[in-house]
Amino acid sequence: MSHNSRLKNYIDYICLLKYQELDKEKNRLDGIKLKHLKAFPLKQLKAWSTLHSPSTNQSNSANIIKGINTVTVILIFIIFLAGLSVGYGLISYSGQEPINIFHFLFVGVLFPLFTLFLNIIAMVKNKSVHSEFLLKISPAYWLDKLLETFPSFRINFIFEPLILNWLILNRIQLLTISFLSGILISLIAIVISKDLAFGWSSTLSISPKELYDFFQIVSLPWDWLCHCGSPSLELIQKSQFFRLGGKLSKEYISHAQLLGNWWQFLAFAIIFWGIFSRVVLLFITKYFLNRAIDKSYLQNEKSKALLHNLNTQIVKTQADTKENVLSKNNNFINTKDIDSSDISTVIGWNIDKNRLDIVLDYQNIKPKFTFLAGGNNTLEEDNKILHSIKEEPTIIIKSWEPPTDEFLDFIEELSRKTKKIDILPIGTSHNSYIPAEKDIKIWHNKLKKFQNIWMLP
Amino acid sequence: MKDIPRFAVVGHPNKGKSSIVSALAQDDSVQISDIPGTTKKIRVFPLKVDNRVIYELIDTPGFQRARSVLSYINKEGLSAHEKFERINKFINENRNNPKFNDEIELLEPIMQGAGIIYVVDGSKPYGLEYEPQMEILRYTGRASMALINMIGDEDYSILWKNALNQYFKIVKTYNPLKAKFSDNIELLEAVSYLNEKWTKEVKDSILILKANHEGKIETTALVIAQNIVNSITLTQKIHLKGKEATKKEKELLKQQYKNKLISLELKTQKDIEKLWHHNILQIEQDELNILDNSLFSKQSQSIFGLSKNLLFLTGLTSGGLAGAGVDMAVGGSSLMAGSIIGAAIGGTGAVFGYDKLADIKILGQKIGKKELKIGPVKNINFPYILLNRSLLYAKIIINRSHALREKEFLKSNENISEQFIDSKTRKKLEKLHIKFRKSSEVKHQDIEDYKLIILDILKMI
Repeated sequence: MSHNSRLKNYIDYICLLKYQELDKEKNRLDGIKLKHLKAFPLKQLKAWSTLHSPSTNQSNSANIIKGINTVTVILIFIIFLAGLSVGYGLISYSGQEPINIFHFLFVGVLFPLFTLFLNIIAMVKNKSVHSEFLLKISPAYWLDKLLETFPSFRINFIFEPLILNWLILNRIQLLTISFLSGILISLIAIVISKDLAFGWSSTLSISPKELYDFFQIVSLPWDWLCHCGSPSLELIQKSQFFRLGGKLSKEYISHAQLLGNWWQFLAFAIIFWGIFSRVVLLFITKYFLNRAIDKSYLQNEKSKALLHNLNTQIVKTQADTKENVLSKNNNFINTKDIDSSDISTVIGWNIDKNRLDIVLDYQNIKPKFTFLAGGNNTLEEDNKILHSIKEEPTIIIKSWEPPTDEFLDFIEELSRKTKKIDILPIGTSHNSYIPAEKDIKIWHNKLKKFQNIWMLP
Repeated sequence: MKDIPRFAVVGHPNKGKSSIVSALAQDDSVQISDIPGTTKKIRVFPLKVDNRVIYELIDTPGFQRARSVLSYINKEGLSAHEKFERINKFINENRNNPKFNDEIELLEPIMQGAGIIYVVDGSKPYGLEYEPQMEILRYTGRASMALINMIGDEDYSILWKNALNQYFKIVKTYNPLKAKFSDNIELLEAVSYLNEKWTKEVKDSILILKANHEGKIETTALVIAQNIVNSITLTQKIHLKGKEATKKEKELLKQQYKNKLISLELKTQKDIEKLWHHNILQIEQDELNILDNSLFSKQSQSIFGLSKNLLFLTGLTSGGLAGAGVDMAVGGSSLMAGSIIGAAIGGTGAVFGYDKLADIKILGQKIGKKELKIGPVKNINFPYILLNRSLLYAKIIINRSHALREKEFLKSNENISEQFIDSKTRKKLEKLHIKFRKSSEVKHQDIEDYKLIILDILKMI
């Protein structure tokens, strides 16, 4: 996959994360589809991005890539022209003085090698996102700072600094290749169209033999391919010139044909030490750019959250349906004080005999008739009790047990027989049979529909 | 369709059935009220994993006319094996009878195969009125257990157990208002043995719930870590209108800063509540107090977002590059003088022209900006204050039963951190706090390390 498409996919992914809120449930549904990639988080993220790629309308990845490529092409063209003119300038031959190959090698080979060395240092330093040294000298950093001042110019996507730096390093190789290609084409064009005489001249005491040995090493990479690409000792000996005197020596001029042979060495030097080395670096920076893109997928904060959503089961224990909110009512039925002497009929509801006896004793109630209703009585037994009631009864109830519909049925039946029913709630023995207020309120609420009920305190 | 485990929570009205369901299902939307008969319709609480139902808890209305139902079942003197069908007949005949609405609601899921969890109040004496209910449930023939819910302070559980053991396979005591996660797991363990065909599913669900619980604690630790990091690295700035900051501007910035810190804390708390499904919780606590003497403001100026030093470096570099272009144009015969002179001009121009440059406008905007910046908080105890508050909060949330409806009161003066942070941990924390304060960009790994320390503390809590 080319780094352009990899970059495009990355931009699409980042825009997806930027414009879409992470939804746990939706993400988990995707995660289930992609569970085979659980052990490969990077692949999983990319696959997730592909799943949602139809909805990347908001992503201007195509425009961004197009913009980057357009700028690159324009710069390549400009720099190529610059290379052509620099090349032309370097090998402008007036006929008065030969072209000093050292000048050509300095600009066309040595300087690019020096910048290559700087690039390699930059690449070594660029191993982490937080390499502050590189960030501060990186053009990407300054561009970002500049754009912060003019928010209207900010593009709708900001690259990670690491990616941007690798991208710039990668493009620099292209520009350098373009520049050196310009120089090379200039050289070849002028070699074809004009006669050139190359020479070498230096203040340093370099013997032709020493220079020959040095150039043998320099031309080692292509010597096996084309022997003519490495200068012979004779050529070196005959092409040394001195500026003192202001004129070229006759002996020098006699070798004019030979002096042009330097062009092959110069061409190969540019091709190998200039262009080829940059091509290698181009592939290396492309590799690291791709790695940086992949690393950025995983280092993005939202990516971690997304991976968590994709791979974590959604456990839900809550009800799917909502419950209607109840409104609270406070209703009270009639109350009156106990008059033990007035109680002649007592019904213990859901109370066993022992407890009833204790309560009656405690309340000093001595009824003529005592009945036990509710509890585990059958309905028939309760009906018999209803038929037996002759006077207005007092029903003793356990206040902590709220009245059920069964009790309300009983009261309804009893109401047909008596005009008044008293309810005496009791608490537990632990509380000296005093009922709790909250329990009494419940009884009041439940019995509100009956007009003939009186609650005894 | 595979038969999933279903458990109907049944019993007398107002005995805490809904509280038990609320606690087990971790759902505080369940209506829990003193008013009996609050639950009129069954409500199902499924345990779902990725939308797949593992088991269901069913909250049911209480028995209202148990003796009537029992009377119907026993009418024809049927033998044991016929009573089951008799219950079905009762349901079919009375489906539209409002008198038996509650009985139909609670019996239907049981007759469809749900296990029974019968709830009684162990803090009140045993009553004979429960026996008709227990008889009916026995006739269903379904796997059943009884839960003695200790609502009040008194304890009649022994009397209850004596009776319940005659009707139910398992009898357990459980307090939904005080139950923690471990208590709920213990209860589910017991439930898993109700019916052997459900044991594996329920035990698997226990593992899922445990993993989920662990995951939520880890996420809580991360949320707390993130909040503390955001708070201790927080800076705020305002653009100044004049050349110097006024007293009003300083006060405004301070207040803005404090408000931001408080809102960060509140957001964290809400996130934790949401994570633990506490949707209606009310907590009363002291507001985060940030002393004025912990806050320091600093005035600064920038051009293109660059400080004076950075602009000097930029001027130096760009001047040098421009000069290098001249050097190249003359074929190097200038001996790099162009680069040196260019760098010197660029650098000194940036330094000496800084103030004048700031007033230049491009496209209507001044390229220079004056601002007053405040933060981060210098007080070295500040992160510990935040950590203590967060841990206290998390402790309440994690351990709070969903059956509780009362307000919580957070005692900010309780020093929970001291109990759980030894000197070794404190050293690790301090190292990280220093790193956070110094870095312009906090590293993910540092936040991860911080989270792990907080996670260890939360696990102890």
